[in-house]
Amino acid sequence: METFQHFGRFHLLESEKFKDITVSLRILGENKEPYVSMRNLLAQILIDRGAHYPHKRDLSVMCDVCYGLTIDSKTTAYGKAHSLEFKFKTISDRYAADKPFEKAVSFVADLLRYPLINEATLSEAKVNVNASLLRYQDNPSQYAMIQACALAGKGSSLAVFSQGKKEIVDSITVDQLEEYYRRMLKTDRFDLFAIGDFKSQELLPRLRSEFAFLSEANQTQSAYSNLGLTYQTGHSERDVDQANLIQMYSLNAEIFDSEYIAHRLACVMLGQLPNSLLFAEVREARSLCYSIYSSMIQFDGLLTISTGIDIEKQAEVEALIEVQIDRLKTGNVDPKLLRTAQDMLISSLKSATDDVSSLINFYHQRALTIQDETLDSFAQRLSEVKIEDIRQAVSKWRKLVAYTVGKKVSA
Amino acid sequence: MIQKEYPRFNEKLIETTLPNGMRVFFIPKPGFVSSTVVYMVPFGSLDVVQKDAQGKLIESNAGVAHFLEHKLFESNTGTDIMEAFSALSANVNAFTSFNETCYYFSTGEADIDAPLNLLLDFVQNLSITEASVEKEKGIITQELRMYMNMPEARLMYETYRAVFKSHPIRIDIGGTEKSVKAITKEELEDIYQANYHPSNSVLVIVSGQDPRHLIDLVAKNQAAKEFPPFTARKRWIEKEELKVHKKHHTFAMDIQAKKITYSFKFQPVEGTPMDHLVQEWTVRIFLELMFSSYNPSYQTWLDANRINDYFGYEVDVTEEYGFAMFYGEKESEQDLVDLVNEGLNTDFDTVAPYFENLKKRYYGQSIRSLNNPDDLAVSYARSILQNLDYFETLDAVNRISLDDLRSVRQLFDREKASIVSVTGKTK
Repeated sequence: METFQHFGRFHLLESEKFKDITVSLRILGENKEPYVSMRNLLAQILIDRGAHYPHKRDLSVMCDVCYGLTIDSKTTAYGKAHSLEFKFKTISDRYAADKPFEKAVSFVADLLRYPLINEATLSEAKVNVNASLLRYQDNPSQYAMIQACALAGKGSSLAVFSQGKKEIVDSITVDQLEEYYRRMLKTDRFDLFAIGDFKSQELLPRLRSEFAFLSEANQTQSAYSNLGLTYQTGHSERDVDQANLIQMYSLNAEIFDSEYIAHRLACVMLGQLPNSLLFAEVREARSLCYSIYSSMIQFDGLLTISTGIDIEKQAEVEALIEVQIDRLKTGNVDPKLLRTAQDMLISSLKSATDDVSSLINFYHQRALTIQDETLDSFAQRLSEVKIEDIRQAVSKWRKLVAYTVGKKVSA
Repeated sequence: MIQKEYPRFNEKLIETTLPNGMRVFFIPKPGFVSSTVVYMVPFGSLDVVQKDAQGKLIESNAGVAHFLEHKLFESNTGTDIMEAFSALSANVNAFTSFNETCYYFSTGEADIDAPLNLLLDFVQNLSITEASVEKEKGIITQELRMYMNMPEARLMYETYRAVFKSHPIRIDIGGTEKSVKAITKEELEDIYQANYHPSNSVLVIVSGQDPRHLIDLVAKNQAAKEFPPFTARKRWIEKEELKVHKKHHTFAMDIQAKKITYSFKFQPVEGTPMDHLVQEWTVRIFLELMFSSYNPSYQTWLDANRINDYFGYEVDVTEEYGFAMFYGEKESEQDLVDLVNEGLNTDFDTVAPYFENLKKRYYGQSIRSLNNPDDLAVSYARSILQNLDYFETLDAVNRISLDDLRSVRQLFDREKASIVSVTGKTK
């Protein structure tokens, strides 16, 4: 399977099969406030205008000159770390004589190196970040997840919402943001990934030169586990026809642990396949929901279960979930389910080589954990997991939170 | 078997029509590990009333296409279809839209013979019981509620209901809880027989594997099956007037951010599907010029908090209707109306020079749309069902002139507009 070549913090993958070139720059800082809110403001400002491109129209013109160059920014939590990602992509120079990618690299580097942080850009960014925060609140399933994290992670970075906090966003000044951005470039770890139709020996020196304002020496801590072990429940009343239920479990394992792979497979067996235990028992056998799935918040050592149900059926659904987890704990599952989980994960790893975002996510995670692991070696480790490994892993799970958003629960 | 080349996009296409009428298309993707196969049937939520060969109108319960999509995953052999795909390391899924029902799988495995046979076999065999139909109603009801809890999805639904009086687009793709309850095993079987014949289906394969081998496999699979004679039913939609159903509609949800849509209904151009597509792109480009940073007023709208980054627009042109919708997060409906009218009245000559920039943008986007096998397979199948060549549609923008863009403004008639808002509930 295709693999990046690593040159310090620069990770390059040449591939002619993609018709475009994608560059993702991920800057990892501390996952705590007020930094998280500031990073969300920067995510808006840095791709909106620049000191050399003071009007939005200037950016639009440059992007269109580069054949629909797209520049996106995104913030994501990685346990104790918080990632601010800038991703840009345009068609490779093979499809346009006027070298759009070459122009795009200089343009985006200039935007990041010479930002336009002033009252006007900050004010606009605050409006947009706050509007986005309100949208998260208005979506019952997203709100339930935010509240569950806040409850499970009280006092830890899990409780920090990766998209910021209104009170803090409102309080940030231009000076604070400028100072933080300068500091961030000096102290925070970055990783730059490029995939597409290019020659590494030509691109690498160019990237190193254009992004020389970033420091390759920095490190940022990311993973942790073992959150508090006290089980808590919570409920937010909302006038909706369907309640959203979130359950969270501490894995009591870190992403660096060799056993982590068994937790990953257990999560797939529990709720990521069409024949997963939750899907089969809660949806298919009893018609209690349309959607039910499990997922991992990997750098926090957490497993979550999400579903939409009738609030009156909450106890029945929770009991059924417990039964399915007990089946994994006792090894009371068809061995074929493990085999299917392994095959599906390995197949999705193979498919990931055709998908730029999946490839970057995989290798970024590896860069933050086990530097030299490839898709092939990860697939090999996946195939070696036994039912006993699953049983042992799931035996460590501790239920932390059950949170619902829905109508008032009758006594 | 016909082979076409598209050197501008560095793409090839192989197509064939099997003796039973099924059209098969293969887009080779050298170097790609994954394969995607799409089986698409031109039966969607808008096909709620159909006319048979004798001219008789047959009306179904709303949501029947979506219900059928759920039930096809049931097998009479006791095998769970999804489980069978998983055992072959293939991800299977399906969706129903306004115009079609689509079943597809993707896999990173080199050998796709078994999942390809499985896809053909399960879509071509409906096997349901009354009990299983009843069981599905609970699941679909939860699905409908899930979407109705999402403010954006609900606002879109209410907007269609305000703009259209009788067109089936005003009914949710999944139907209503009432219509879902009314669906029977017999109705599903009738709809299946009337719409799921191979000659009424399209199969699209996007893969790095050997085209000839996979097309032969499809041909063998189909040759081994017998299908009854088939005459397609046709969609029947009562033509509705250009006037909107409701000029104003407000509803409440348990939310904090009020959202508004301001929608226009307009007469679509008469002509071919390509003509409709070109008109859609013409309106889209006109709006992009008027409502983006290319308009000198755009920054002043942001600075004055008249819009935020949520503001946007959608355009849809079909044989039956033209529809353009603006949306924003605003407290005042009048503010959005004023802003849209201001944008539409911008002097076109101030933005016209940027049309060439947009052409470059959309050329780049077209090239990049060919990177994702899943998206490419679905888009290609859709274009076939609309009698379009997908690769030709990528050049639609080049058929548009500045004069075409100048004429767009007249489509936006305030008398044929509707404003819909979702507000918070008073506690």
